[in-house]
Amino acid sequence: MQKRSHVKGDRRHHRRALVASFAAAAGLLVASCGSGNSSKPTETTEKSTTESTSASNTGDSTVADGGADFIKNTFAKDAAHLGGGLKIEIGAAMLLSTSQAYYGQEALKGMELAAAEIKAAGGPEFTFTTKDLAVSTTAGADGAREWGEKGKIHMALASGFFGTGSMIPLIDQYKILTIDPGGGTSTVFQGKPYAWGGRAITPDDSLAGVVEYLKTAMPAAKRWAITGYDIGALTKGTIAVLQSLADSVGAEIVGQALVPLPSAGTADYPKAIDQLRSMKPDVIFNWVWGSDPAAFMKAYALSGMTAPVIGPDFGATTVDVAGSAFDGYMFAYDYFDAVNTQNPWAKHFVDAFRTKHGTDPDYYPANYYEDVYIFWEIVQRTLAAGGDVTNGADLQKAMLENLTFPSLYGTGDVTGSIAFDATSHSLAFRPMGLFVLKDGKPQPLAYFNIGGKDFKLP
Amino acid sequence: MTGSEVMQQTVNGVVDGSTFALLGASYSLITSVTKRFHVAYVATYLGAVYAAIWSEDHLPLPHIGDIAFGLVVAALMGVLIEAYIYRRIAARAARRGGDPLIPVFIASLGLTIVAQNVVSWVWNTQPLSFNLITNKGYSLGDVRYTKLQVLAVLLYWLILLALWAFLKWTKQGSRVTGVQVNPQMAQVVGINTKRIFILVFAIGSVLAGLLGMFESSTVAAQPSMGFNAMFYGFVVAFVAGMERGPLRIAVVGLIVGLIQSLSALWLPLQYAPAVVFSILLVYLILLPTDFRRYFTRRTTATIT
Repeated sequence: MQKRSHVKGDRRHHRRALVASFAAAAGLLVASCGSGNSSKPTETTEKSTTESTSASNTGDSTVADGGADFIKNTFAKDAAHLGGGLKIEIGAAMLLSTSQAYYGQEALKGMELAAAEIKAAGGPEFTFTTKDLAVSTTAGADGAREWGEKGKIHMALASGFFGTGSMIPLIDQYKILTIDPGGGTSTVFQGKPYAWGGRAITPDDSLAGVVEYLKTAMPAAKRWAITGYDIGALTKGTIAVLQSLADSVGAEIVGQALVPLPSAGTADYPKAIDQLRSMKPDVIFNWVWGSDPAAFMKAYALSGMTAPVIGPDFGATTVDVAGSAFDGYMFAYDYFDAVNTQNPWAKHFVDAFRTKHGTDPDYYPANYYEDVYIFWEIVQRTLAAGGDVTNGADLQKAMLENLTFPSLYGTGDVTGSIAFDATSHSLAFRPMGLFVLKDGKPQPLAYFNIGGKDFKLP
Repeated sequence: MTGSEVMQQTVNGVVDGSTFALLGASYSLITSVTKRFHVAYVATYLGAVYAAIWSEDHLPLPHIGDIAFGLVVAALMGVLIEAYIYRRIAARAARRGGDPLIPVFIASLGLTIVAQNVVSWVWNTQPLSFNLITNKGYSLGDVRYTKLQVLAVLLYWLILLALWAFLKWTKQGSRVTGVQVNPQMAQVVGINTKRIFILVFAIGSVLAGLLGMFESSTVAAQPSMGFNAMFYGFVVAFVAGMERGPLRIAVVGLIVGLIQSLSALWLPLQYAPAVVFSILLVYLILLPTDFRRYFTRRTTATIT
């Protein structure tokens, strides 16, 4: 057996997760009602230098200048309304403990990097007050209520569909402009006041692009099988989207082998695979997340089946679990490809992240980093319009002025772009792609946008 | 439903049932003898796997040595939990004339959460790979099985037979049975009940650790692993009768595994886990049992 090389995360974040988890344990054992206050401010610790060595705006940031000029030139356009000197507290409801803590910890890295860059570029000092969604099912609501009653938080970043919806009534009540870049709005929480989805709806938004790829590259693959978590209405909605696409290309959904939504890694994939085998599919759509694609592929490799598996998620840290069984796994979503960045801002972000953390960022730090910049843009617009940055209504009004924002995703001379939809509050424009794993590394198979628009092969 | 589907689910059921059998036997060995509601079974299940991973990364041992190291750590965890935590809590409860069941349960739950968080802290929360063997898939007609599954079934039943033989035919096994049946009488005849407690915690924890290693080989090592296993072990042991011998518990585990697996022929897969807990529910309704009996000594003596 080979010795393993761990990617050890930032120990500071681990301690935070540990403390949050002890709070969770205490909540379970003592209070048993989930009302414990686990929120605490996190301080940005990055020291961004204002010294610059280059005035170019190509994203070729260096370790020495931290890319400060690039950020200034790209985002600090109106010197009078940058928000410099302001201290703005952002609520952050995310998974910071339990087996899902990876997501919250990585997201915080992106947020803190953005905050440091923004401050160095003359913008406000963003700080983050976290709420651990893993503490209880009402943690998101508890956080939003605390932030609202405190009266100092008017912008927030959420995760897991706004704490699976628990935050939504409260962010409306307290007018906290909230973006969820971790889960988006899903199909269930669209159009809710002050609640915006910061990523594509997964896998629904990517399915048309995937089907376009199948039509182009695998035209004989007409028997489609579905496996993945049974998440009730969400799964039924996704199946309906796929059924409609299957009808449009003359394909057939030959069966479903759904599994209960598990604690990560505990689903019974061998049994699901046994059922899939009897369906004799040409392609398998596998809707599981986190480490479960690796767990699925580990079992799938032993099944003797060869049909391609297309999932909605991939995390580089899960490669160790599946090993060579992961090769050939396809996934489609708004995956942040740190190796093949498509615009200078993305390149700058990857360089800065690598310098600070020694690893490539995945879509969690990328999305949360990006959305802190969206908040800065909104602050600048609000100030320029003479609005009040401590008023959520003013902030949302500024957002609605123009729902297109710079993005790490997609092509562009300086940045890519994304656009929110004013009605659904989901993303209407979001570059994404279909990738396949080779030797544990994602290789792009196709690029497209929501609904399969702008489809192209690399 | 085709014949090959029935065969496949039967094979799956035997594999799952064998796992449930060893889970039930190991869990009941601890619980029926000590009357501790040992939720921290999860901690030993988890501890063995992560200790083996640590050994892989830090000790110059062959793979079998890493496995042995993990199992030794699991045994030590079980022994230390009993000797330094449960026993003290039970003694304190006894001095106050109280029932140690709930304090021990809460301590056990707390230990489990602490263990999970320590693992998350040290190894991060991402899954890790730990494989007992290099796995491979095989076909017999349309039925698929893996090398790991074959090893698991053979090894589990060998252990169950050995456990049964140990309890039935060895002097130490007789002492364990004596403490299980009547701890006060066992003390009177000179059996050191504390040592017996330590012994069953050591054996049960090693088995928990082994089961954890098989789970990590099938899926992955994760800080959240073990709770499902503990629940299945509890259900099987409870339905079979906590104080029954390992073979009876094993047979019940096998039946539960087969029922759960074969239910997938009629029910959507996502409802399979509900089958096991439905069995427990029906059992509780049809055969009312005083739950606390399993955790309360028939005599007034409390082993401290």
